[in-house]
Amino acid sequence: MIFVLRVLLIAVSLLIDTSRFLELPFVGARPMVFIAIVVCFSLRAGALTGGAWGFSSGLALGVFFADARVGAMTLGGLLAGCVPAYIKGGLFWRNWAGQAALGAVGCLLFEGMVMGFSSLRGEFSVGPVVGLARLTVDSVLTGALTPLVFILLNRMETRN
Amino acid sequence: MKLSRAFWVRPHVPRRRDRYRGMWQAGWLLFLGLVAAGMTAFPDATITFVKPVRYVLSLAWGTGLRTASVVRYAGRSGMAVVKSLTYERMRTEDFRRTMEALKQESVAREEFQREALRLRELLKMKRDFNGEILAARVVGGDPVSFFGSLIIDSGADEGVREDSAVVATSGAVGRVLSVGPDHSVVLWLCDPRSRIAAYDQRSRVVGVLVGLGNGCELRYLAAGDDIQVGDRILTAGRGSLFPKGILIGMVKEVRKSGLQIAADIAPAVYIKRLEEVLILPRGASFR
Repeated sequence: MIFVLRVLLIAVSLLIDTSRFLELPFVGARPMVFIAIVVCFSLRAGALTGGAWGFSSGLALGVFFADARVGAMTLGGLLAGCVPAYIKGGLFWRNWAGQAALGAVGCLLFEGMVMGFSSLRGEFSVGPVVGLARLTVDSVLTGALTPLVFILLNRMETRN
Repeated sequence: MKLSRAFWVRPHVPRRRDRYRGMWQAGWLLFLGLVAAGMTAFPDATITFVKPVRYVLSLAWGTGLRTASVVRYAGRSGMAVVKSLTYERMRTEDFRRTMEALKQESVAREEFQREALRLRELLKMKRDFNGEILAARVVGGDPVSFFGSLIIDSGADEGVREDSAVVATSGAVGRVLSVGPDHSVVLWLCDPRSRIAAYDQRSRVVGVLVGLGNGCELRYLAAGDDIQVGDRILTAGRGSLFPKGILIGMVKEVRKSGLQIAADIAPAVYIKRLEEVLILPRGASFR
């Protein structure tokens, strides 16, 4: 039951991420909901669970867009899912600020991987300053969302 | 005899599975990492495998996006209604009801009028081209914010093909990157992955338009080329993707470095405000 709920949650979050629901009006940046969820799975259940969810979510996103970034999205999702579990001890993950920091790290890993891959292929013509600024804003927004998702998951999984 | 507090609890004896848990976990992560790294290293081969799977996955995803789009539009209308309700709360009940009805009617009428205007412009534009032109509604976008791809609600079922040109009433939008059964992904001209030939309408100088995420740049112009701020940049029609002469944007700034000139272009189409687009078949041209 809890597995089905998790799949549904990830599916809805991927839908939100692609449908531009949470996009800021002028900046154009947005939090990556699925990264926030994957980071929470990683903090609660460990690196393998988080990594597997991140891998699957990144793969689903890559398959949907079916462009050259599919591998980068998968690898980015995997890193965003397993790295927070390894560094959570140093970032006070039980505190909301620690969860936010880990969410931001997850987003940095995912978007950084996609951006880095596009840069290596010569497909990313945005300068490093603009790219890093957008990356930072997206990471901050994702970080802000992570503690809320953490509370939501706690409630959801305690009731079921 | 003094017993420990939890003497009835079986002492924890580490099992073999527990002992190798860390190794097991690291092995799986290594396997997933290798798979993902392989996919990253060989993107073209991966896409070949991914495309059939995409067709199945995108059926559900496309339906979800359409629903999300409907919810988003309904939410906007709902927000407008809630705001006007709050504003009118101070007035008398009858007056408020009348005002509300009128306001909703006018909002709906204005929305219809705007939509009719947009569609009329789109229809006018559709008549300008040869070939079978398709119209589509924008339902989503790329989750990574510095990439500018759009998701539209027409796909292979409606006859959309990869690499078709996509235009709006205000100018060129981009090209179809991938096609699902009932939706497609469109690469915006200002996406960092996009490159097309373009020319200056006044001086006829041709360059390569490169996307920068939220704007674009005309590159590879020689130092002597005549390009000025305010010039219109149009599609060059090379490579049979876009017909020649579709507006891309205006020159915002001209920068000289050594023997080359680059011009910043303010795009005529800004995808965040885009609601409907036209899809031109390959080789389409102006009548």
